Amino acid sequence: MSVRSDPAVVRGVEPTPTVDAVCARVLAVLTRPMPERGQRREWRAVRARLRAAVAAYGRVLRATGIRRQQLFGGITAVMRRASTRLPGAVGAAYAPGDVAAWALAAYDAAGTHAVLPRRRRSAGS
Amino acid sequence: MAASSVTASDATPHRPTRVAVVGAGGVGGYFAGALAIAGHQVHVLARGSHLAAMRASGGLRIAEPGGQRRIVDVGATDDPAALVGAEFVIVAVKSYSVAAVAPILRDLAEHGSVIVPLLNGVGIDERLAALGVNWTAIVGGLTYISAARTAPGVVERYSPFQRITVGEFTGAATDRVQRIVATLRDAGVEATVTDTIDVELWRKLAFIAPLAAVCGLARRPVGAVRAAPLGRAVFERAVREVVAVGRASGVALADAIVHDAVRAFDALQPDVKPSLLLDLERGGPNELDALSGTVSRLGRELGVDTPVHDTTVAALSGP
Repeated sequence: MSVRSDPAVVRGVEPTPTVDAVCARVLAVLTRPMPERGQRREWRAVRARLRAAVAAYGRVLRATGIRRQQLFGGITAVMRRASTRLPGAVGAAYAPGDVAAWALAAYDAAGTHAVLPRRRRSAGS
Repeated sequence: MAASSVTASDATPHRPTRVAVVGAGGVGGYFAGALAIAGHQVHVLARGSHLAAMRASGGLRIAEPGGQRRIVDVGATDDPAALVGAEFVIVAVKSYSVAAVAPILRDLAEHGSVIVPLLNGVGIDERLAALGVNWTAIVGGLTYISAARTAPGVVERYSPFQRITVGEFTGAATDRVQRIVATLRDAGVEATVTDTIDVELWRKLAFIAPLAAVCGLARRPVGAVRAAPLGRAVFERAVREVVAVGRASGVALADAIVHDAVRAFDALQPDVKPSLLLDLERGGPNELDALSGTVSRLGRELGVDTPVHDTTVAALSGP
């Protein structure tokens, strides 16, 4: 059996996406046409995709030193711009504040993980 | 220029304007030099051998198409803090470097500077906003110029023209865009305010993305592509794909854009190589993602077929 040498696989974690990649992903999801009303499964899928993209965005952007308020301003501006330009797109179907809340939750969680103290080993173990 | 363009006030600025330039390559360096020569207070963010060369020779060496050469003090610095207080910031980095300069632009926007990106491609304002740059500080911008950094501390302009178009995404002819254009005109730049900046950005993309695609695929300059069987036809198809995607994106693009792009393609000198081809020949990063990559990606999201740009991405992506 061969062993893959990709460090991310070895450590069991996903490779960190780039800042460009997470921004592009959010912008792409916002651009897509919204499914017809009544297509509940498609609506749920769109919501899940958007939420995942926005969460990755909030998490990765945190590492760039962006402040919370800047992140909030950024995602709401992108939402407003998308809804103005493409009224039938995903970006127009969600309230900017709701989507920003997903990004901020991921941003906050990333900060929490970063400052968690490492568990000390007891002397006897 | 588009019929929808409006003219900026003829009034020249009453005082020197503080201008920052982020990206000191051919485009940024050239315009920084023009502004500095006109007496404006310019600071250019640079680094490495380029900065060292400018410091050693007392400024940036600028070569004009007519053979004129001069050394201009463009306030080169590697300290972003020196840029704080600029009335506006010309962003002239390559599209793949936007994320790297975003933290600097965030700070400058927060200190009241207007951000004027002159990058290739569309959606740069949304990208900058997503990176945390205050969207209300951004105005749309684009340039038509052929210029390059030919050596550390040296930029050369090749094209006889050097145009900049700016405009608010709302279409309003605000004081700030009028003032930016007045400052640029004061420096001899052919600057215009437009009330349809989205259209102008797509119009440019509808020329440069197909040009980069056909020359990049062929790995040959314009003349060879034009002479090849179907070369011109493929270029025109690539233009039509951009226009279709732009329209699906909600931008009102006229049919004349296709005709104009083909005419411009026919008028190019045979030995012209788009910057994508030069980058491919050199190796290293290139703007494929901002050109055919954007057309292809948006086409997929919006249900528009873009076979020429898909092929270009498939053939030219990767190492």
